Amino acid sequence: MKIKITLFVLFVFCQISFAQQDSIASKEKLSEVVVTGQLEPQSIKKSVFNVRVISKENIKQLAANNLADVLNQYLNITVTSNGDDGRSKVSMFGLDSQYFKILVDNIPLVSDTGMGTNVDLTQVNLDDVERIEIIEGSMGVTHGANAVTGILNIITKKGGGYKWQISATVQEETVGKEFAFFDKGRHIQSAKIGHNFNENWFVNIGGNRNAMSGFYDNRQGKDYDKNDGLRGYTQLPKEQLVGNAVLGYQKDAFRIFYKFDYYGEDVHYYNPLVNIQDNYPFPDTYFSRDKRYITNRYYHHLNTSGNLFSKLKYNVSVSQQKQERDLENFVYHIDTKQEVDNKRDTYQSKKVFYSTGTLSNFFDNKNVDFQLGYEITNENGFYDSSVGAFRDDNQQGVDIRKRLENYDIYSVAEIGVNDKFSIRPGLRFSFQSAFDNQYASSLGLRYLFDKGLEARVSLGKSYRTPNFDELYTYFVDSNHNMQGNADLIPETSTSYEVSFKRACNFDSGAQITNNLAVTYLDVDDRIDLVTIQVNPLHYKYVNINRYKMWNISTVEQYIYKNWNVMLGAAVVGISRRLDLAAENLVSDDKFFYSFRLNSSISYNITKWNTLLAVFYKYNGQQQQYVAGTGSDGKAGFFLNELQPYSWMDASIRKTFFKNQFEVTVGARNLLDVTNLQSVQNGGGGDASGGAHGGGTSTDMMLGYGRSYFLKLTYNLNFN
Amino acid sequence: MKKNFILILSFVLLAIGACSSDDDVALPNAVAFTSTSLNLSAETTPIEIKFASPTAAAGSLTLTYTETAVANGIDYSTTPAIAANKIVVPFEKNVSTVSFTFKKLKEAIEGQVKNVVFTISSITINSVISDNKSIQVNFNETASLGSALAPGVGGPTEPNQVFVDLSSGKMTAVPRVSWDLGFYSGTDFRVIINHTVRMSAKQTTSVNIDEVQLEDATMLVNGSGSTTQVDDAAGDITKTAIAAISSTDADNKVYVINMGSNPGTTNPAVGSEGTGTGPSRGWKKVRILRSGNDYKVQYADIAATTHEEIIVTKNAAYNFTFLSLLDKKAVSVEPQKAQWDISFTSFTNTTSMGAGLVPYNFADFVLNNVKGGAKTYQVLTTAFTYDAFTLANVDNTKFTEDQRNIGSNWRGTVSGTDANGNPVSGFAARSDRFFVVKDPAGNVYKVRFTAGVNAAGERGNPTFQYAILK
Repeated sequence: MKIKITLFVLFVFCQISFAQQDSIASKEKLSEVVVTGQLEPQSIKKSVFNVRVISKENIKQLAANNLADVLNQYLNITVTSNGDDGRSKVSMFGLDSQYFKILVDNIPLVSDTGMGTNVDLTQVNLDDVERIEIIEGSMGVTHGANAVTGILNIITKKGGGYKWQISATVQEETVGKEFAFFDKGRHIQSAKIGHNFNENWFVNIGGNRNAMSGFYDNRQGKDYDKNDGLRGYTQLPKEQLVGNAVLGYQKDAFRIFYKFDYYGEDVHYYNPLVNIQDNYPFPDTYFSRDKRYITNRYYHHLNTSGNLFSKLKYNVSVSQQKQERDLENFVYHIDTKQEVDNKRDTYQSKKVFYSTGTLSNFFDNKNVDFQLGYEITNENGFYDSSVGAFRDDNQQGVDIRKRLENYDIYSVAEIGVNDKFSIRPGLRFSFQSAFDNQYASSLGLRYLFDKGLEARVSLGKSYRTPNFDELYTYFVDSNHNMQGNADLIPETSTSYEVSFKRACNFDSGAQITNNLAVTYLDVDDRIDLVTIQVNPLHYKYVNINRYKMWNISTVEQYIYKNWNVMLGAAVVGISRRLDLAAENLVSDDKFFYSFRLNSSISYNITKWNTLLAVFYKYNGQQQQYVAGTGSDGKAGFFLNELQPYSWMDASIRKTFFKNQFEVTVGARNLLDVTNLQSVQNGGGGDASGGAHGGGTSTDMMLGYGRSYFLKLTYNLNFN
Repeated sequence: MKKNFILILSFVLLAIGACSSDDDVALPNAVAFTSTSLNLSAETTPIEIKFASPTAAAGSLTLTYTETAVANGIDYSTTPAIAANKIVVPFEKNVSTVSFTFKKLKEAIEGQVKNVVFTISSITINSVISDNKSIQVNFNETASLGSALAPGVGGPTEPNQVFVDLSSGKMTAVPRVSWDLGFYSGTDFRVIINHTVRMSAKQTTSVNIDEVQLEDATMLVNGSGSTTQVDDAAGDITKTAIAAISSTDADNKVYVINMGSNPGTTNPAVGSEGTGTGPSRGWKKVRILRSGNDYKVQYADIAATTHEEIIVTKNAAYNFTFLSLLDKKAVSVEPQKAQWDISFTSFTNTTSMGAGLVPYNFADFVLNNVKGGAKTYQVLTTAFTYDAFTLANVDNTKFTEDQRNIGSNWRGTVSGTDANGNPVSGFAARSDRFFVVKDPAGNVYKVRFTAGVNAAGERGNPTFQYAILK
């Protein structure tokens, strides 16, 4: 490991200059304007935060339909997908999606369990996206709770350069080796229309249907009638419908837009269990008890910005979001292909009122800016008892219905000491209905050296609020005692980042941008379910563990003529201290290091209007201690190793008829990775769990293997 | 511009084309007798013929027949009457069953083999004639050729134990909590405890029934407990929790009895069982002595300093004589020992929880009457299909002295998780196997289980089909 780090550092400094940290790059970066975490839209260079941008161009090259398709290639993010339901979640620096916040136009997106956290990436459609901005590190001041490892802000498209913009897309994808026009593969259709009524009014309307027919693998689909566990799918079939509309008005400095999003999803679960229908004296027929999970999400967002009293700038958003998940149980008769006894109930719903706003430009001073902000969240959640272990003492399920509110105020100042040096302190105070009041603070420094070198330092604090499982789990009977804990306090995080960026333009037209960042993050009071009493066994969620991480990463980008080459590398070290409470065991908190690499190369054949692009990402081995029960029946910590893997995507895009017609062909997961091997030395809890020092190895499903896509887009723009 | 619209149009067509397809399959109707044999008891008996789905049109069925030691018009008659060696049975449109009437004109003498076999030979509407195309109508009591039964175990808390006699198709349902001790009728003096309610028995050192005893938490059957405190799960009468009753009174110790638990008072979640989730049935102490060729039982609550006494007599027609300590009287539980083959119940089996075998309550269990002489074994469909299996395929060496050869093997679970990551309730009858059952009279049947749950997915609703092997 030491050698690796040394090599890595050498590699970084051999480049002499420092790079732009923009892990997936785009050409227009020098003039790039970012909004996330800014007092007002400004050039990425002036930003005190180190903002990473994923451009529309990158999204196009990956033929990405949803957020999971694109984040697979982001250096510090791992996308973990669940084989059963096909949901994908983000994991950053070894912390899961509860620590990472996803926003759409600066509004946290409602999800099953939170606001912006735990978002299923496959449910975030990218059709109307202009660009994606990512800030790593604790962003509690500007983005509140749960912005621990970072935030991702999706900026949607509003308006356009033509009076009419019409576009239609058809995309056909294989699912691994499986494809057929009706029953196999992934089929996407979408259409968008944008219209500017006049110089003030505009409207954008779009729709998208994404039908994934499931991944069969060795399974036999829904009409298989043998009870050998092979009925159904390895990854469930699902259909997504997305609709969105934006209506906007702008005049001088005044802007207002209303945005509506609808997301509908229908996941089909086909039970492997086949039941016999006893028709005696006639031959048996077969049926299964199947399910359908239906999600409906509505997003309303009204935003207005402008000037008040000629100088003061305001920006206010009001949003209402509603998500409902329904479960429809039914009996499917395999011989007649008929559904009977359909019964549909809502098992999870969430209604959120959210508003955020800022006032800035208090002083008529170019060098000092001050922003006052507020954030109001009012969440109404309903969780059916089936969602978690929510029971009463008679083992009957208990539905959970809770309202969570928080009222936050924050202020940020940006002080330009001189042209080169900026200081940005910030503070947030949050009044919480369910927890103790929280605060977050931040400090950012930026210095622009000569010759394009930029240096940034930032310090941020945030916190993660406990989730419903942690608060309300209750499962107590003669053999079990597992309890949530209403007295939990939010986990707190602190992050530090030092980064350097440099962009050089050569007379030959070549551009080199380099970026180097060093990050440290710690999370304290981490919540875990631990043994609080050994005999009899009692488990409870408590604030007990600690997490520390440091990360050094670099991204280099070279643009020369038709070539665009990006290379990124990172070493991340993670330390976890696990405490088993009543077992009187505390794990070793040593740092485990892992190495990552990502790269993209694109070449533009201008003569043919063709762009070739290849994306590659390497995830090194990851190690951690996990708590388990050894072969001797005693609790302990066991080393778990996640084997390295690589991910590679490639595409060719060609345009015809003056860019009106666009064809993209490509492949995802070119290296055909399907399983991720996890090796654990003991702790399985039974005699086979490493009794003789041998490890147990399990395969986690990572994807469905190499797949190919063809995307046809037709654009029509006219005035 | 025109070119553009053609392009747009082709996109729209592609989008429409990419919808998934569904096609329906229309099945022809099917017709069959509801069972393959029938013993006449009344003078007139309707004989039912079933359609798989309501008839699409009116029509008629034509039956042929074969007589054994009987003659039409002398021993029996039918309505509609036999004409030209056929019976034509008309039916209406939109009916699911049709029947004709069999009238017995002359009683048979016991022991005589007299029967008529009717066979469906044709039908006027589009329909398949299924496997049960014949029915044997017996003048005397004759072993059933096969049928389909649904033992009334009583749903997910399984309050009843159901004893099934395959040869007569008779089922006897008895509440599981109706008895506590069973006294063996054979030459041995042995006492069993109720193996359907998580009961256990522990020997004390005392011979004084009036000595106060204490509850013992180690006796609870919930994955802990000891196999020495429950009866042999295989059904060996020489390995009961209570030692053989000695003719020397001083050898017969007092036992503390954990009476186990009642069936659940509320139904569990669909797919789960609640056979033992009800309130505790309490604690008792017993001391059992011989009384000539019978048993003398002294019993009381554990804290009592006085006791009650009851004489339980052996009855050779039965495996056991049953006693309820709560109702303080002998009760009728099992049918006579030659009149049941298998029983459906929850059962105190043993299982391994890591450190050796411990008693464990199994719901949806099937016991065979090993003490009465009914034996079973399992056949996987990889060896023989149910339909193809005949008497010639029976391997007599596979019948063993274990009452659990059907046990919980007939049902199974397919593991998996649903889209929420919750485990899937995987309870179902296994279709990859069936069982051979030899009854005490020597009839050999094949038995296949078709369900363990009802349409709503609730456990404790078993169904099975069986057919005699020839």
